[in-house]
Amino acid sequence: MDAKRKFNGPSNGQAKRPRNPDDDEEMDFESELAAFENSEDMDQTLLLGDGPENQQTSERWSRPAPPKLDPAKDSLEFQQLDVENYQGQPLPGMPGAQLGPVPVVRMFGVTMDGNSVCCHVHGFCPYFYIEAPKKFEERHCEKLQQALDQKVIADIRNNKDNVQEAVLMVELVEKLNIHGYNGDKKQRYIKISVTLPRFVAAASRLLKKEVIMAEIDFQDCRAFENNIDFDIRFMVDTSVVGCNWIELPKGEWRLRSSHSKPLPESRCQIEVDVAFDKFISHEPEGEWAKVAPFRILSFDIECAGRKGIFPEAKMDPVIQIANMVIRQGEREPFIRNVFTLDECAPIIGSQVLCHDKETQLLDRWSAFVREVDPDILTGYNINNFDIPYLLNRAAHLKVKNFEYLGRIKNIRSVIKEQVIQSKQMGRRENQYVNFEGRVPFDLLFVLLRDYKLRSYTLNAVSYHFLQEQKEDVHHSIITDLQNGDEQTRRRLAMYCLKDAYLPLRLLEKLMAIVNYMEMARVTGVPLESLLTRGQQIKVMSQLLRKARTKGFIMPSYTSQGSDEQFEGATVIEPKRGYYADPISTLDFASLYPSIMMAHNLCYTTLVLGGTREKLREQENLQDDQVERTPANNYFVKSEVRRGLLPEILESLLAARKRAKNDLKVETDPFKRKVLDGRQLALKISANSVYGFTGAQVGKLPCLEISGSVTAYGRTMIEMTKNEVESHYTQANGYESNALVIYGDTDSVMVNFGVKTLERSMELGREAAELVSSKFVHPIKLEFEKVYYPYLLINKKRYAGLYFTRPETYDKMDCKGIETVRRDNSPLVANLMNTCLQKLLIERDPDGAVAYAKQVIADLLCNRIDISHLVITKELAKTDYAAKQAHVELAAKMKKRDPGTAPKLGDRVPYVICAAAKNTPAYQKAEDPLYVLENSVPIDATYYLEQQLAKPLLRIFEPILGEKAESILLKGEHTRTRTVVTSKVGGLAGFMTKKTSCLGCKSLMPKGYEQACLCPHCEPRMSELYQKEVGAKRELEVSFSRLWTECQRCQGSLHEEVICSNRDCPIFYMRQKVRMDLDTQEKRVLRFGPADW
Amino acid sequence: MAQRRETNYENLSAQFRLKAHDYQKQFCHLYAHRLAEMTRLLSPLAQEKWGRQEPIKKLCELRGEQDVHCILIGTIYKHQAHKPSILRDISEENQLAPQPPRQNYSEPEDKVVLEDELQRVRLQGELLQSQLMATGVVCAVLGGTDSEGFFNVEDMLYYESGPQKPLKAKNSSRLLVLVSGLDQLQAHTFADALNLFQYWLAGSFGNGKEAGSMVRLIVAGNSVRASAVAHVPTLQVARTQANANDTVQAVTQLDKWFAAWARSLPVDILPGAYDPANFMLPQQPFHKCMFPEAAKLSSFQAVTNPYSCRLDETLVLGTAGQNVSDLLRSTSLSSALEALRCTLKWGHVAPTAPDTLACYPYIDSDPFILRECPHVYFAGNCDSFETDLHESSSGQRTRLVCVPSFSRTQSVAVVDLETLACRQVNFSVESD
Repeated sequence: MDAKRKFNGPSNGQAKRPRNPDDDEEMDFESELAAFENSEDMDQTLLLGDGPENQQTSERWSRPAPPKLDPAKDSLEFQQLDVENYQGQPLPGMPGAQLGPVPVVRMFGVTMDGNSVCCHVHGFCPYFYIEAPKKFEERHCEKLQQALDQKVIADIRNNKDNVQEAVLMVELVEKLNIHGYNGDKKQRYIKISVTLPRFVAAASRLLKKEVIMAEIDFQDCRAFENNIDFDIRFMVDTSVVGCNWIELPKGEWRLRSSHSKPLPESRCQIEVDVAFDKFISHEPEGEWAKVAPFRILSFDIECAGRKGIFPEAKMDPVIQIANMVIRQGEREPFIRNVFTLDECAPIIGSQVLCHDKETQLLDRWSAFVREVDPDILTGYNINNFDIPYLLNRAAHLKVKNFEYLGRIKNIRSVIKEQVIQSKQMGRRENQYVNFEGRVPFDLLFVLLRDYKLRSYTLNAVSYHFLQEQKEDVHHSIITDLQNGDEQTRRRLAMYCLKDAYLPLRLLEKLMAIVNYMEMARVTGVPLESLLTRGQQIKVMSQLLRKARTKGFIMPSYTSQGSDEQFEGATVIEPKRGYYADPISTLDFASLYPSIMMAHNLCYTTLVLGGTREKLREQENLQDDQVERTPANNYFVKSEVRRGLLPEILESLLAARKRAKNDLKVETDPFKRKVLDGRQLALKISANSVYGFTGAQVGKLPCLEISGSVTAYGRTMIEMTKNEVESHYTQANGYESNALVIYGDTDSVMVNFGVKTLERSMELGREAAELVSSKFVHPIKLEFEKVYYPYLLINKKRYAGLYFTRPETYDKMDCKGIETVRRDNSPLVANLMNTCLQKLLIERDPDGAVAYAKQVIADLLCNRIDISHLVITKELAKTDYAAKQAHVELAAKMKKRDPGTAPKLGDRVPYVICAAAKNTPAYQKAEDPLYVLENSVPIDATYYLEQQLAKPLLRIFEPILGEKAESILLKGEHTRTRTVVTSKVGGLAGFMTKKTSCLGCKSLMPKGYEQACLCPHCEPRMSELYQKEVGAKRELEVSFSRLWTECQRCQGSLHEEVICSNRDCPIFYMRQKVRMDLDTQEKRVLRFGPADW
Repeated sequence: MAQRRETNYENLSAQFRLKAHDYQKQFCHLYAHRLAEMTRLLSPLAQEKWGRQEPIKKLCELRGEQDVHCILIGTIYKHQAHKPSILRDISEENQLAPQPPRQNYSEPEDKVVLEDELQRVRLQGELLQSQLMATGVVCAVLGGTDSEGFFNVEDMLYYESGPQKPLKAKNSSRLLVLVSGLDQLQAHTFADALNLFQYWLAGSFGNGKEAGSMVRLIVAGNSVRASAVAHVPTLQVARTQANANDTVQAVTQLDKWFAAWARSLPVDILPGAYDPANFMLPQQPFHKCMFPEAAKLSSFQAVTNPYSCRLDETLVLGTAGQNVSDLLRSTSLSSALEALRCTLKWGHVAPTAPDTLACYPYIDSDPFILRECPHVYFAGNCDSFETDLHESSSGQRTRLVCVPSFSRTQSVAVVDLETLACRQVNFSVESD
């Protein structure tokens, strides 16, 4: 339950991604406007052109031929994937405005037979509401319409579209304001329908600022629903949800063809027109839960960069583009190919398309995309790299028609900059490219949104999820491979193909597309908006749908960005320690949603401050019909009015229950995936409803609701504690007095004082039932797991072995313990992990202490592999205010070798090296490879004190108590230190090496300079020789295992390993072992050859 | 002391001695060299077997076309999901409940790939018997490509080792004694058997005549230790050696045994997988300083593993058994004898080196190719004694010997160098 932790600012999942400016990120208004203006202008001038016809070159590439359709006799069903609108001309016979430009909604989708569909939906008009002034009556409507129409038209800056009609209709309607309970009597509102979406903003602004009608003043009238995207408005009003099935009944639609009017505008196989009130939008249930076989294109490009410079589209050619196309639901891609520049040796199983000229390569690829006609475009970081690079490169080379990659023939794909300013991420620039009808689904965005990882490189990600390393060719080598022969280019192509294939495998493994599609269906928003926008639009979409059916409308809220705080969730003060007995954990199932349901918390049930008296008089609202929350807010009970949010939550949770039940009986693996994706989407959605009410920069924050929710949560945790502790006592006949040792947000940890898992589970179940019975339905306390043993470190920091059944544990569960933080070295995570395993799984606290001491000793004696010490930071910019270690290092490396030095955007790995006292930390960073090659000494003290000390003490203090620090950090094991002598810097140049005895390390006496042992050690020769050989033996084991692993990973036995994947955990190891083995070999050789 | 027969002895293990060490090199050179030499050896055989009309092609010449019928020569790579992987071992995610090393990781799903100098192709076909196949084997395959990118194998050909010198009859029994797995660290459990063995070697059992015909003793590895040292998890690059004191004592003890034996007949001692020697094949001889007593005798020598020598005409070749045990892990071969037979058929002592069997990164040779067919071919440290007289397709006969581990079986193998007859001699006290 991520959402519930947030009270200020955006919630967790939303932090790291590009977003539309109108969402929950903070953005200054000016840039918001600028962005708006910008895209309007572009629509007109840059986007339109004269696109090429589709070519059909290959049966394999093209979609199956569409069936012959007769609109009078046939119905047409398709799954829509993209909904958007454009400004078009009215089509005779269709509803809506008949004059001048009108908005037309375009839906793109695929039929079950795999044919692509473009459907123009006509006649839907944008509208909004304002409060009706007292004097306003039915008869004023027409006058207002005319007056406002003139004002709006006059307001248009240069009316190049020749707009003749702006305000279409003004009606007086009766609606309820969603915000606050005011009885069931409807209020009067004016509904204003306009011709184009942009007139909504204009009309409401003019109503506020100017005098429209002399006799009636609208300036104080609050506007309602004037901040809703036109696409969402359309989907809400026509019950279309993301990725659902649309049916065009026979006789109600028109087919476009080469001799129809209007002519087809798209590259889709079937193009149709329909009125907005004539199509059927199917709920994604039962038969209509199916998924069409849509096409996913994953691609990756390679550029031949120059040494030391990140590829620039104006300078560096695109040399390869690898493509994989898969049909949703199938296991393997049915198109695998690579477009190469210059001859490339064939690759079995993939088509190699060689080109002499780069312009030809780009031209053919663009035609390939149009022919394959993918519904979804994916890849790794395509949004910010591959796609913009291709477009810029093609523009630079003046490749004709390259930029027509979307489904509308005459619309170019154009790069737009999106700037997002957020508290957490700082200023971020993202690029967005339009592909009318194709959904860009960048895997990187999915990962940034849904997963918290140490590193987001494709290497690290595929290692994390697929346990596979990926060969990484350093960009400085790519150009060399391209300039080689057809075999070296083949090698590059293999690499490129793999980079195109991995995103597909990851999408499959993470079930990303299925899950996102289900999320779109559940929340009702288009697929693409899930990646480009935040949580709020999803709740908004659901709220609007619900409100519409009940006659509610939403006021527009302008964010004040207030910093008003309210109290967070409660934490029962932890009784820290290491618990060797089973600890039962009781959890509230979907706590915040169930609180909202149980106590009927909603906008529509809120009794606004100061209105209670009024309501008592006017609406006869009795005190027992109102509930006071622990946060001192009042809400009417559900018998007075059932809230919308509780209803939304109920249907979400009921749907989740259904999905989970279906999942239990479903056997088809693909359908299981859909159902599992759905239940997950439902859970996340239910939790985000609470977040919506708490988001102060959101569309409609309501702190009365979110504050009450957390307040209820706090009292419930307290109450649970009291109930459990007062019932489970020796006085009541139980083994011992139960003690709640910790409680947080939605869970309570109880020590029943019993020794067996079985008994603790029994008591846990019993207690959950007992306590649940004291709460309002549907709040339910569930017994979920037992931690045995349990290490409670602090608030939100604990670890335990997690049991759900007495036989075996499910996993080791760690919360808040240094395992994934990116600014730590892996040493910390690995040490913590092993110590916790020893504590919890092996139940061997002494062993854990011994291990920690051993690692510390190894660290001080320089025996730790350097890959464990590497810290990685992204080189985002070079002009940080404060000096930063990785920036200083990047500059240092550039001086050494500009070719391989990290560039802007690269991630810089470094280790902290020993330096003279008082050297600032940022000067102590060094390139791990340089450290290895020159035996630069590591600053072991830094790693011990800055990295290991705190987390180690945290987990060992509950066990060792006060003495932890002296035992771990100051014990005997810290006395021995190995000082490495650097080959560079300082005094290195002045040192001469004298031979010393391999046994006692003393300098060799005269006459023994060539021997291996001094006279004193000579009798122990056999022993000492065996020791040296033993050390060499271990190094040989490592050497063999490491280098054969790389040989396997690169997929070729006969070719040299050239991988430079620094994220790979063995990258530094394999380098180090070479050097160590050389050194060790020399030591062994001092004993003389083994000649007989 | 029995009177020993004289034999001409020639140590042919120079190829297994490392002259220089360079660990900056990678393993691709070894594969490349193996493939080049084997291609040279296999090409005429393939032409002879399948006729000249079948072209020998390189994979890059297939150009991704379908239905090409041809001969391919390449190195086998077996893709195995459970192959030991250092990456998996150190993976953070798998730290919980570390997988115990599997005794055997061969599975029906294993994929067999043929790789030539530049490219790879998946092989399929009944004849392939992928479960019996091993990475690193070089072979010629006859067959055709299909639309799925597979190469369908119709027939296969291995090198089966080089020519063999015929044995001349001498009419005098000369016996070679093979022993392995003396495991001195555990010797207290079979000290009596070891004593009996020594008496037997010396002919003190009234077996004077037999002892007189014993011309040589080969100790085929794991004399000091016969099992791996338990692994302690650490974050170190290479584990530091556990206290070596116990092995030092064992070595001193061994020195005494060897000195005693070498007084009655020539003794060659190979290092084994777990001995205090280097790890990569070929393992280098123990250093003289480890056996000060025995080293004084000219009849005692430490040799490489693998080890090859000629006794009169008889060519003897063998290992301490790593090649065989590695094959038993990665294939579903049923016994050590079958694994040993396979290496002979494949014409390569240790095909899985360097992939899963540690091996020095040679850059210009592959010393493990069987360029001459041995008469006696042995592998040490097997679970039990097994033997067979193998006849190659061209009629060359080789005595295969799985030398039993002495610590486990208290037995040794004896081979007649002329008739190639072979038997087991058991010294366990209970069975006596």
